[in-house]
Amino acid sequence: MSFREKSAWISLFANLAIYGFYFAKVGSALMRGELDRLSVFGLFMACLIAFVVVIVVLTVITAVLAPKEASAPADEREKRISLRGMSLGYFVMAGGVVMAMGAACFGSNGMVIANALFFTLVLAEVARDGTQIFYYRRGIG
Amino acid sequence: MSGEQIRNDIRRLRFEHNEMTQQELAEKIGVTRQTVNAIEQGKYSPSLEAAFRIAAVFGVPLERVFQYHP
Repeated sequence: MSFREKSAWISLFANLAIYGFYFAKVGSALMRGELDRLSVFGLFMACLIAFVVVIVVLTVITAVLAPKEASAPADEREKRISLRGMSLGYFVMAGGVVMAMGAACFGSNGMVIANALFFTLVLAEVARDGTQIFYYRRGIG
Repeated sequence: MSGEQIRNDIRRLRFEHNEMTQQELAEKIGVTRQTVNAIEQGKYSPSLEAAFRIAAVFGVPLERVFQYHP
């Protein structure tokens, strides 16, 4: 498995595990009607820090195990796979932003809209990573 | 996928050139070993530039490396 495929797996894992936890917590608070701004902000910051730490630590370990590959620039196949992932991620993000705008127009509060936008960002990253992993596994013609 | 229509003889050409490894070929044409492996297996159709570089490494014409089967 190439360094960049491993990076995509790391990003997918971190997004699903950490932000999956975040949205499970925020979602259950929203259902109970207990969406408190300060506690959401605290949880958001804790998850953001955890996300950065997990990404950095796992990427450094991966790079140490294959230093030559990690420092080499992406080749044409890797760039093409990256572009496919970014392209799908962009459409997911655009769709999410439009839905968040719709929610804002129908009276959702700022906290819900902010989390909807953040959810869109995470979903776009998951779509990007998933697409890249798919093409790394299946091949790209 | 277009990779199914474009076949290649890279595996054989590597064998005929002192059993050149995928890593050695990858370094000569400026891609990763995984990309050479993907090209060999028909999972990736390389750019024209990379295809010419592969042919140049083996010192053969392009059609000796890649064959198109419509």
